[in-house]
Amino acid sequence: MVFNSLLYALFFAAVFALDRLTKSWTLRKFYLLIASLLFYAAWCPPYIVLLLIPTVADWYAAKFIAATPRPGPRRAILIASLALNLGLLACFKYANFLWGTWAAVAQAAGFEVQAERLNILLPVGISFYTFATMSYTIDVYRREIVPARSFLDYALFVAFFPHLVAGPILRAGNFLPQCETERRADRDQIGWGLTLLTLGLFGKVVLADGILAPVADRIFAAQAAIGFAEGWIGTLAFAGQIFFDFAGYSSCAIGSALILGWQLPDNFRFPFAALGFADFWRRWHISLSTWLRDYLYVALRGSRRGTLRTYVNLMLTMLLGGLWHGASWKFVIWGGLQGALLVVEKMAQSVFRIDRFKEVFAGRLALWVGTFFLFTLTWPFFRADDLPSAFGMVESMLSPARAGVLGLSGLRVFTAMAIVAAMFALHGYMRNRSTESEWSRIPWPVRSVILTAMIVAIVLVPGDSRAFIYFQF
Amino acid sequence: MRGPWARCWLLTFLAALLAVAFLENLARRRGVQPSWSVGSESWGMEALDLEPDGIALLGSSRMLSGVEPELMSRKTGRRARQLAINATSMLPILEWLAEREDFSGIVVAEITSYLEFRAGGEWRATAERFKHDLGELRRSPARRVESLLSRFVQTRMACRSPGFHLLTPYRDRHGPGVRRLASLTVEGSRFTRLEFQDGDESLEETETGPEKAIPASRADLDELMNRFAAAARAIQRRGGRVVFLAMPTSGRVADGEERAFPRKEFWDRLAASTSPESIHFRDHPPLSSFSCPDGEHLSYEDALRFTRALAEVLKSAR
Repeated sequence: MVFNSLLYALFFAAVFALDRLTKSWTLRKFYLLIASLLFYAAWCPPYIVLLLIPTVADWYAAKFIAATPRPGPRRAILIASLALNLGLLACFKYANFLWGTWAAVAQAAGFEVQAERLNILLPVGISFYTFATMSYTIDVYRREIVPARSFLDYALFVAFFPHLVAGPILRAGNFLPQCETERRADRDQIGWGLTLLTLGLFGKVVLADGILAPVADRIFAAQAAIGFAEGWIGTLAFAGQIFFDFAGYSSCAIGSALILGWQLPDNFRFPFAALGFADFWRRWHISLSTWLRDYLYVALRGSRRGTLRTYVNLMLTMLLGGLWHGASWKFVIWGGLQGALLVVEKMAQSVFRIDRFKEVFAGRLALWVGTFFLFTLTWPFFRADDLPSAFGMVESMLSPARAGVLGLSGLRVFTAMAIVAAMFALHGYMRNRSTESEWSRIPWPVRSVILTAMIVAIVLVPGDSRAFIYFQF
Repeated sequence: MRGPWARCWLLTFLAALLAVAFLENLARRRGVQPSWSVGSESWGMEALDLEPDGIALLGSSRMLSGVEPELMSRKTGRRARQLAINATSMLPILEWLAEREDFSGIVVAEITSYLEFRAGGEWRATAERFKHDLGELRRSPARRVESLLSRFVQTRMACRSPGFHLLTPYRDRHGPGVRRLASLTVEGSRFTRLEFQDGDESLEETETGPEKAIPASRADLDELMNRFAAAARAIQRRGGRVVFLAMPTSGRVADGEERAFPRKEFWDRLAASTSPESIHFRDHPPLSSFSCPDGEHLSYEDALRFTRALAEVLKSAR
């Protein structure tokens, strides 16, 4: 089930009504859990098992780890839990990638190996809920949290439908305390939650799917060598599309949870306002970057083992972060480029102290535009269908003399680029502000007009609803 | 965040309701009828319902607006499904039918030369996405319920109709002697009903679609021809029929298509190399008397006449 569907509107209205009409807190959590399982099963009923296996296994693993004082068995159970979770990911997400890579290596070595694709369906949201349950077991192992007292609370933490299929990736430490005390959304939370839902749907349905995706899709589908301007237009359109798509999803998730009285963490903080790549990753898919920092980078000893080891750790973290996004070498390269940008930034910081540039306007402007420019150059590896297409796109973007071949509609391109420019400028303005603070400064009748315009636009955009891009991860 | 939310949302809902009601009224006053979409959801629903011995109508917007499936079903005695997709090559769909072991019906595959034989693969991307979405539709109860809900709403709201949307491919036709589109309605069967304004209008001179297209290289064309032939053979081996069809075109579009994609080099080669039946509208007198108001799409009345004539040609060809 996707947020941008009529079915979700009906489903959510029913869940909200049931939640408001039920008095018992335990019963309300139980209904929410059942609703969440239905939400997941509506995508593909048999795959509900894949959600239940890690949920039950990690529940018992965490209990055992917490109850056992001896480090050996604790460690063994943690490893078993991680192996189960990563094993499921490997089977259902990476099997074709691993098999294809092995076959390619074997073929290169002169062996006759058929690299036929295995017919495995990628379970929606597996990367998200796997990371959520893994963080729970690791946090219990590190004694940062105590195991949940109730299986109902823990199962709700894993399956809670707003975050289930595309995050934000929840931490037990944030969610389980909310299960302890009874909560019911007040009028302000419902009002703000509905606003977030509307903002998210507008970004997804109107901006991402209605305006930016057709331009990006058309250009990235081109197999001929496209022009310089076309390369930039397609990549910029995709930058806007993926932001409005994913930030829109996160906004809908946070809004839906808030209407039911639950707080989910922020996932985006105006990423295109970033002054540098470390800053970008503190603003883009925050729940993933903090997960990678806390459970991978820190586990690798972060920056505690000297400069060179810090660079290696950064690179490894971003390579695995790239691979998390998709089982393909193009995502590994994308992650590698992110790692390289972070390493170069760290080097530049230690040699030139580039933080000084942030003190003057021209320096901030250069860092802002430079970060966006360099980051944009990496998007083709994320969006293109395969590696040759990604390299072809980057080549077009770096060949100013190359003429256009696609004959794109001027109105569509103009609208798409105007939206990307407005997004870039808005992010710059909002760099040190929050949506909530700025929204609260708008008089309520004006808010109403803005929300009305957005709802009318959402209703009017015809055509098929597209799934959110991050569902495939 | 604190604020007078009850007032704000009450006003928002009322204003949104009024605005949508106003736009709905405006759309209906302009003659726009509530309309189903021709996107992947409606395509998937029709594809799931295609009977093993039914008729699959493949192609692009020319087929969508030119062959009425219910009339075709009545005339041929087999259930016809409209599986054409706007502005895209139908080759991936033909290949999908070739892979469907249970299908041994009739495929009427409309060939728009500048979509099928042009350079680059982007013209097949939409069809590939539709195929991918069909898998989702098949396994996901949520997708199927959503498709039904969406059909229920869309066929009741004229303001959500593609006919009210300014960026539809049918609205891009300009040129001397080209008539403007008056209304566009997608029926429940996905047949796209087009009505054109009376009289010719001389609008701004622009290149037509075929003239903008670059033909595929010789090597790519060879590969495409092989793919068409392989897909057609697979369906024929199971006892099915594959009929390639060139729909009527006229005026500048027809001239432009002939210049950019000469019949001899493309259509005739396809007909010769694939060996199934092929019907070019110019070769069959009952199909050659049609004129397209915008150069490449039939008006509603002509589409009905064309469907009847095509059904007869199909029967006699057998």
